[in-house]
Formats: sequence, C-alpha cells, structure tokens
Amino acid sequence: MNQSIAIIIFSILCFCACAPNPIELETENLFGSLPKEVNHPIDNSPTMEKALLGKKLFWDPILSGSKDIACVSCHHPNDGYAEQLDLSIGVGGVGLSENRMNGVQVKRNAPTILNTAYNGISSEGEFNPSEAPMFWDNRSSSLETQALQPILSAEEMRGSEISELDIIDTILLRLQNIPEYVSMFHKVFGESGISEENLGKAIASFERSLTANDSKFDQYINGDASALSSLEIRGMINFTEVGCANCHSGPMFSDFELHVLTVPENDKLLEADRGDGNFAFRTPSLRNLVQTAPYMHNGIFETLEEVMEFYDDADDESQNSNVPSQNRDEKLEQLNIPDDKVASIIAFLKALDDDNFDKEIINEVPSKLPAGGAIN
Amino acid sequence: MELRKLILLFTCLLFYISVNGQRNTPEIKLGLESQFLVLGEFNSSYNFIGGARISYYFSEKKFTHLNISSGVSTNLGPMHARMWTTDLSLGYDFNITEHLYIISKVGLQYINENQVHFTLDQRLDWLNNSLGITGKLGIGARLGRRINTQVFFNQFNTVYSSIGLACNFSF
Repeated sequence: MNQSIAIIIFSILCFCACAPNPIELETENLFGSLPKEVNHPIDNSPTMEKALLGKKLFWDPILSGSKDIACVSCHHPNDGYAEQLDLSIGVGGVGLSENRMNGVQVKRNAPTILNTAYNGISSEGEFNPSEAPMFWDNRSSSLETQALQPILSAEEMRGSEISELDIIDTILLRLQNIPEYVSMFHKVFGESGISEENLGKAIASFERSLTANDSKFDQYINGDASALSSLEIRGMINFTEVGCANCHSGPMFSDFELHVLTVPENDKLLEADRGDGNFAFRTPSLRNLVQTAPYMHNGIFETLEEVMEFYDDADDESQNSNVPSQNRDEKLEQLNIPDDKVASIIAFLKALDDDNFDKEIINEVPSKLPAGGAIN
Repeated sequence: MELRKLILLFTCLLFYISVNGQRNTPEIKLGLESQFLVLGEFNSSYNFIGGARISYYFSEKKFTHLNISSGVSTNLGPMHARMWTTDLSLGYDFNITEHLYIISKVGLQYINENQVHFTLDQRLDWLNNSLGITGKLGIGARLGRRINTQVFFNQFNTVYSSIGLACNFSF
C-alpha cells in the first residue's frame, strides 16, 4: 500500500517534469523603442517659429465659438496633455481636469497628444505623417486634419451659436484682427498668411513637437541594461505572453487598428457610443499611461488594475450589453491574464512613461483672452 | 555586510552540528521535489519548479532529527525563461507520531535566471542572479522503511513563496 502511494507520487513528479511547455513566445507581435526623430509631411516642414505659433493657438480660446475653451483645456501639460476626466467637458466648461464642471458633455475621453507625431507607426518603425490615424475611431488622417476637427465640433469648441459652415471663417477673421497673429502667420507661412490650411499646419506642428520617447523602456532597449527593474523585465515578457502585444505592438504599443472590445458604456452618456458605427475603437498607445488616467475611450476605468481585470473577463463574454459576444474581436479570446502576472505587467506599462516633455504653462496669448480658456 | 554575517553564522551552525552529529549513525536521503510558486515577484515568471535534493541526517534524538541538505531545481515551462536554483540548508525534523513529523529548514539559496525577449530589431538576454535566505516548513510522512514524502511551504527572501511536494528515499 505504502509503496503504491510512493509510486503514484513519483509518477506525478515525473509527469510534471516532462510536461510540455505551456506557453510559447509569440514572435509576431513585437515592440521596440521610438525613433528619436519624427517625420513631417512634405508640405509642413518644421520650424521653431511654426511650432511656437501652434503653441499659442493651442492655448488660445479665440479658436472656440464662445471664446472660453482652448485645445489645452482638455489636453493640459499637467496631465500629460490629456486630462483626469472620464469624459471631456467642452463648450461652457469651467475648471481644469478632474475639477472641470458644467459645460457640454463630450462623449469620449481626451487622449494624450504626446507622441501623436508617431501615430500610425508600423512594427517596422515606418510611418507617414500625412496618413497618420487620429481620434478614437480613426476618422481623421494626419495631425493637420485632426487639429481643426474639435473647432468644428459643437460639443467640443464650436458651440451652438455659430454654424459648422461658418466657424472656421469666423475664427480666421478673429485672427486677422490680432496684429501679433497676423505677424506670426506671415513670418511662418509667407504670403498665404492666415488661412484654414495654415491654422491646421501650425497647430499640428506644435503637436508634433510633443514627444516623450525616452522612457525607461526605451533606455533599456537602447542598451542601458539597468534601466528596467527585474519586475519590469518580467512584465515585459509577460506582456507578450498573455496576448497584450497582439494589438499593443510596435514602438507606440498600438496597431492603430479598430477593435470591438465591448467596453462597458459610461453611464454619463444618454446614448451608447457606437465608435466607428460598429462599436469598434482604435487601439490606444500605452505610452505615458501613468499621466493619462482614466482609461479606455470613455474613461470608464480609473486604474490599470481595472483595465487588466476587464481584459481578463472580456475573453469570456461581452461586457457591453449593446454588443453581442460573437461580435467581439477574436483577439480578445487569445487573452489570458493570470492574476500573478498582473503586477509585473503594470510595472512594465509604467516603465513606458517618459516625464520629459514640454510642460510650459503659457500665461498670455495674443488674443488677450485668459490663456487656456476658463480653466483657472 | 549583512549577508557575510549570515554566511558566517550558518558556517558556525554547520560546524557545531557536524561535531554533535558524530554520536549517531548518519543517514542519507535522496529525493525529488517540486514546488508551485504562489506569491511574489518570481511567481510572475515561473509557475512550477522541480528538482532533486540530497539530505544528510545525523544526531537523531527521541523527537528530533538534525540534517543538512542541498537541492538543485529548475523551472518547468517556457524555455525562454529559465531559472536554476541551488541551496544549502540546515534542517530540523520533529517527530509527531511514528509516521508523521514536522520539517523545518533554513539556509542559503542561489538563483540564476536567464530570460530572452525579442524586440523589433534585436534579441535581448536578461541575466539575473539572486542570493538570499530560504526557509521551509512542512509535514512529512514515513510511507515505508525507506520512503517518506513531504508537503511544505517554502519562502525565498521576499521574492517568492511556494508550496511543494517531495519524495525521499533513504540509504
């Protein structure tokens, strides 16, 4: 009897010792460091003066219909050029970030502008700034196009008093009445001066200067073996093994594709957000996550732990009652995030943070309106 | 500095025990052991480790049995994350009944890790060496005259906790 038990135990030990590898390393979806230089469109070459003009426009509420909101109102440097709000508050809003209130509820979370210069970068490190996908639903290509969209949006900056057809002309007229802008536009763009196209180019040029490409992860990849802790290293490997890198790949940790994830709806919204029309949203970059909470397109998750829990549950069934389980992206089913790997993966994600970017607060803009709009 | 003190203390204990152990008939046990990692940083890389252990038992008293042991183990799982570990421990067994006994061990453990990860343009090898204190507490059962089995809880520094199963053969 005793010998039988011993034989059984030995057999179990031998079986475990000979067990096949449960996990094979995925080598298809890889990531790497960001290039130090960004690409610029052929028709929007970078200059210091152009970026400075774009920066002033970025901070100036003159670009909004009611002159109370600027780009920076929802993309503030103190919050990594995002904001600590689940859903942005647009026209009529007062205050900054989590203290912002009143105003029109925007249906999505404000993504960071940091590193948007690299949007669309492929796993091979190639990217075309003229075709870079923008917004949560990839509805715009290039920063030049994107920069004007919030101005056209009634919820974000335009308001209801000026029509979508008239708002750009209204703003261009306002700019032409401000000598400092007239001078700067002419200096940067020559004879074409103040125009819709140049407005987009200037803002895009500033946005393209907002890079944060020297995270601990980048330093490690570029040869500094001590840049990452052992926990972060373990997280880097686990990140690939559990399936995160199936979508979060490339130097930006995004495939820039649309996926149906079945993220729960935000109760603040009266209607479900259908994303691209089929509840698909773009894979966001994972860089600078620490400064850009809350997460997902509607800011429904406040912490990275909640995000990991969502992904672990989403591989079983839909987490959004508006989306049938069979419509979920098939890559979700490949996700398997054991609890004991969560801490290391989050440690790795935090190592993608680079705090070294332009955080200058502008106190005065050419329009003499309050810089940043009604944020103070 | 602290580690050097610990090694010195451990050496003194081994010396004392080796002198004390001359009074009894020594016994050697050879066995297999496996451990499931349940907590700690290492647990994020390795789930299961297995290996062999040799123990030298001496100084047997009515209720206690001193021993020193050394084990070698490796992780069982993905080949791109390899861990080798060896330890030298001082153990004390406490008899509960004729067939059951409590095991306790404390010692030094060395761990070598080699993990491989691939990025877009390169393969990176990560090497990590750890030296620290290991402790083990568990229950053993004598299944026969020469065979016994043990279940135990093992702790290495603060970086991993495991539960294990071992089977030993006495010579």
